[in-house]
Amino acid sequence: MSRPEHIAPPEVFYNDTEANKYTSNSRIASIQAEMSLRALELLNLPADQSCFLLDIGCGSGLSGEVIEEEGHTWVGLDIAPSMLEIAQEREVEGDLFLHDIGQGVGFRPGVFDGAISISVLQWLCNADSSVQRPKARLNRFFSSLYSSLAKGARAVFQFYPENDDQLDLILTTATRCGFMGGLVIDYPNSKKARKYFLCLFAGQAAPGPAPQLPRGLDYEGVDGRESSVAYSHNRLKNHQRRPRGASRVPVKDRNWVLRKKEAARARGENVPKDSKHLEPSGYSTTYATKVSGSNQNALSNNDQAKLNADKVLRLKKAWDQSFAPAKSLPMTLFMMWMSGNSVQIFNLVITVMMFFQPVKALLGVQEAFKRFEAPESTESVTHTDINLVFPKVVFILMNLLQVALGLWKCSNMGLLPTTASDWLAFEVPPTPLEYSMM
Amino acid sequence: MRLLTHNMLQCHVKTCTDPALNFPLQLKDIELEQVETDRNDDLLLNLLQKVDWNALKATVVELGVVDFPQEIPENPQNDESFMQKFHEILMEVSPYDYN
Repeated sequence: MSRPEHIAPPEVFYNDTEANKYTSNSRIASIQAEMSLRALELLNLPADQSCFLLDIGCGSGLSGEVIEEEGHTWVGLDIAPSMLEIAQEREVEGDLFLHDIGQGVGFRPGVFDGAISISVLQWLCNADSSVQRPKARLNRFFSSLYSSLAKGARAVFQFYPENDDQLDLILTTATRCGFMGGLVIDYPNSKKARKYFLCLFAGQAAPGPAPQLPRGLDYEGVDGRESSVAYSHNRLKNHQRRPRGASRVPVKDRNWVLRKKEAARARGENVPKDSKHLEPSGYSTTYATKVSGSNQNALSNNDQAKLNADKVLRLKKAWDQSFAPAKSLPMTLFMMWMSGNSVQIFNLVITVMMFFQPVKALLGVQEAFKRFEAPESTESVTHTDINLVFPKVVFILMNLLQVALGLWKCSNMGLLPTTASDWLAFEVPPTPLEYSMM
Repeated sequence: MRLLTHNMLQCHVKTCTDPALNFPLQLKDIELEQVETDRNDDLLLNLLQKVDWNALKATVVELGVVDFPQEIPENPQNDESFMQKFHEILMEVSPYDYN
């Protein structure tokens, strides 16, 4: 962006057209008002008090209007006549002076409660004629301003420094003239929104700690928007460091050991057990994997004992299974007695059920005892597995007993063809020994 | 320009440092004008400490205003007539260059 102070001196640059443009453009006006408000804020004037302020480079009175709105009285200085004319047309309240601030401000000492200046200071850093020396002009300006400010008053300059040398020149000159303070930069991370405010303190009103330089605005403080990503190492550090007092987590923990042992078992190595405790009977993973390995004969006493215990348990369960049909016998008998011997539908259903259940059980004897046999993987190795023949025989007998009961019931009801009258068709009529004729 | 501002001005010529000569500035070729403004007692009391009273008196005499109080009363905020007069002179009377 071209800098207007490079184009012409301010009183020439801000001619009628430029001055008109400056005032009629609503965007410029809003930016000027915003900056004036911020400058007033930085002035840190006592609350609820009308103050007498100096507006350096008041132009068309845009900043003056903001001062009026805040309830203060002001006096304005500017070098451009066209701008001042517009200010007069707009009937601003402050008194206006056509004045070159490079020649100092002509006011009595200590009259102003504060001074603001919007977009002016950079103009002072240029020599517009051969006789002008920027440094001397700045010096004159700052020293006369310092004296005209009340003790403890502030002067806030919004300006656009061209480079670091210019900043340095302004700051050192102001400091040499007695001012304290420094630079406040609003939105320093945004190239567009960045604003420089030179915040100067003319001494101290009351003895005490030196006034604190205000903090520049940033997006974090305004509306929560982050202008840049916050960068920190903390997260990484926290991740690596365990909290104070927490026990050390070993790299080679239990899972690691188990994984290694599993891998060794897969290679067929002799690996100690994972647990010192006996595994519950019926839980077969350990010995199943062991006996299926190459070291079948290396079963320890412990394993042998467990195998035996398992066998005893299975045999016991098998006998339970074989006597299970007998348990329903009393109930069956009771129902037989209750229902009587007459041929009715209720009687018949009970009788059919009495046959149906034992017959079904008899057909599935092998199936019923399958779960008591040794697991398939061990069948080949355990030569002396439990003998299920006797339980099976008892099971069959019990079921047959039920069938017998059913038959007895049937005979009681007279459904069994046990009398001669049931077989009349096959009855051979007796051959008469002799025939008598009449 | 209000008399307030006139009272604050001094000659800013570098070599003009004699307090008897550089203040107050002389008013020449002027006409008086009355600009109505709202009275702000708070501001007036603030300005009362800053205004050079003797210079203001001299200026007022020079302009031909007669009924101006010679001294600041002890409690100016309670003195309604003084505050009104002070306001009129300081904030409303505006000399301007008739050229």
